[in-house]
Amino acid sequence: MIISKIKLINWKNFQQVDVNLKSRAFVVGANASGKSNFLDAIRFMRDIVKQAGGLQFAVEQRGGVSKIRCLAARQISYVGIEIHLSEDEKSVKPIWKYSLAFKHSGGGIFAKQATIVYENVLDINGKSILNRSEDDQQTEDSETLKFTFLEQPNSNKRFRDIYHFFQEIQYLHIVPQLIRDSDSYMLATNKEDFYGRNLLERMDKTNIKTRDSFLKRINEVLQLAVPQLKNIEFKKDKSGIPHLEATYEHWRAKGAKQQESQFSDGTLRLIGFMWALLDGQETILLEEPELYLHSAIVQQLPEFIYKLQRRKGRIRQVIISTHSYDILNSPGIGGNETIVLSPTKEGTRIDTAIEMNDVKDYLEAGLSIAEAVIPKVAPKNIQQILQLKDRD
Amino acid sequence: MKIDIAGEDPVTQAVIERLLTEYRDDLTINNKFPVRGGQIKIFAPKYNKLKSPIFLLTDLDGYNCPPELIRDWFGSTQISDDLLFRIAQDEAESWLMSDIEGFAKWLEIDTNLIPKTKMIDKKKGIFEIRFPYKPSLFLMNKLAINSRNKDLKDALSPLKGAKKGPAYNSTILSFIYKSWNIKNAVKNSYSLSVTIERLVDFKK
Repeated sequence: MIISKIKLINWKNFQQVDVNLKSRAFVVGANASGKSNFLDAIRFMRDIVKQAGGLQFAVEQRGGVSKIRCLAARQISYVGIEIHLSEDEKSVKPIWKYSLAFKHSGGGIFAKQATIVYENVLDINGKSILNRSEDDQQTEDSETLKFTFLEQPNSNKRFRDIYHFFQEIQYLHIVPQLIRDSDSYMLATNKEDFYGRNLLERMDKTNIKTRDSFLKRINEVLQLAVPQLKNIEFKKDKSGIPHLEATYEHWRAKGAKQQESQFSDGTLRLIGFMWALLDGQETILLEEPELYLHSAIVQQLPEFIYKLQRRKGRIRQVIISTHSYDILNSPGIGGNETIVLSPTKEGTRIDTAIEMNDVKDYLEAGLSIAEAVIPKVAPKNIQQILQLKDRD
Repeated sequence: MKIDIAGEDPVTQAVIERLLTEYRDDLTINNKFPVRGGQIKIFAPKYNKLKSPIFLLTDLDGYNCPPELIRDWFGSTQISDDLLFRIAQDEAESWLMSDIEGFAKWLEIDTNLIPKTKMIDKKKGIFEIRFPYKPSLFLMNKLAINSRNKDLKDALSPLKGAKKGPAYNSTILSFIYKSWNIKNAVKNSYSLSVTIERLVDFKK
């Protein structure tokens, strides 16, 4: 399945948005326009369904409802998320429509918490499978409204599909430092899933045959991207701690062994990035995959991702946030694969590139997505950064 | 009315902005197309297909005359009414130095270091400053080097192997935004005066 549509109400810097997604989506916007917040709405759903997760956990992770609710919010007081899941990008009807709205309650002597305003599920025929509302006093009270039906296996039986889908979602922001030294970084609670902290652990848990076949593919790519590094292997040291080991070629005939702590930032990002794309089935969120990589590699990423998405007859959805001209200049990126974030006084707007009149004209005139969209998301007066003076 | 702008480098882009502020405050800038050196020639025919107003400024550089450049860039295609296509003779920098007094004062050099204005075509009334070679190079190698202001001199003089001074763009941009006297520059540059005429009449 893929996420074919997301609607947000008062979610962080989005007051009201409604955006369609394809199986590959490039999220583009200026700094602080809300690219990560957009991806975070999807991570929020995953936090609701994950082990030891739940609505209260997901809200708390983000600092409470007051930190989630859009500062530009007007009449509507609650925070709402609606997600449509479809078989693939060509499906006409979504298989599931899930929507959830919650608001802040408590304070004073009562614990602050999130209270559900409504939670609805519609199936492929538009038939209501779940219809909860805070106004339904016969079945709901302040205690039941703390928990989504989605997070509870007893009550999500008829839409378990959605539950599994969100559990499988992967968020990928590879921080090389965390692969090298997973203990040295302080845990930022809301960033617990930075990829890297547990990459080696994950590799360890994967069964040997699968792991070998993944590493084989990673090696093939590294051979081209980092030719002096040969034959990456997964090894455990004497105390059972997992490591990656590779041969670094130099003038000595045999070269030297290197472990992950000696790999370069770019090498580690490539390894983590490929592993994540190979491992797992459902939607994957990639945050700025261009970081630390040479522009010649970055230029290849859109097509590379396109190929890796297609495995075993399925197409896995990949949602990518990026600032990279090299990525967006790829001639194969479509106008409806590109999601453009534009900050306004009423919160950030989201449009697909093709929906924006001027961008549509630019694309028709033959400009690439990068040429057409990057000027729109560039800060208007950025060149004045050079005119700033030191003040004593 | 909204207008997109495209220049071949940050200097031409800033010149467009300044001209718009000065002569067409009814036009607001919609998008500034990214400046990627050397690509403007490839983009020009695409900009020509847009159905919305766009101002494109480029340097004459290696071409002998504007018609030659236009033929090379657009072939036989007509330039659209939505495209205000202008060519600075020989470079946007010439237009800046055409404000002779102002430029010399700003750079803290003697006025007579800047070459005199010459009549190029008496019949058509075409006059420009004739620089002995590429005006931006002349600016760096002949003028900046003689500046009494050490900061400007350092910022504008290229290091070995560099094409421009280490803070060339930001320094020149500051002149364009704050000091460039366009009225005085027009007196020494025919191509600038025609550009302003065309800009004033654009889409009216």
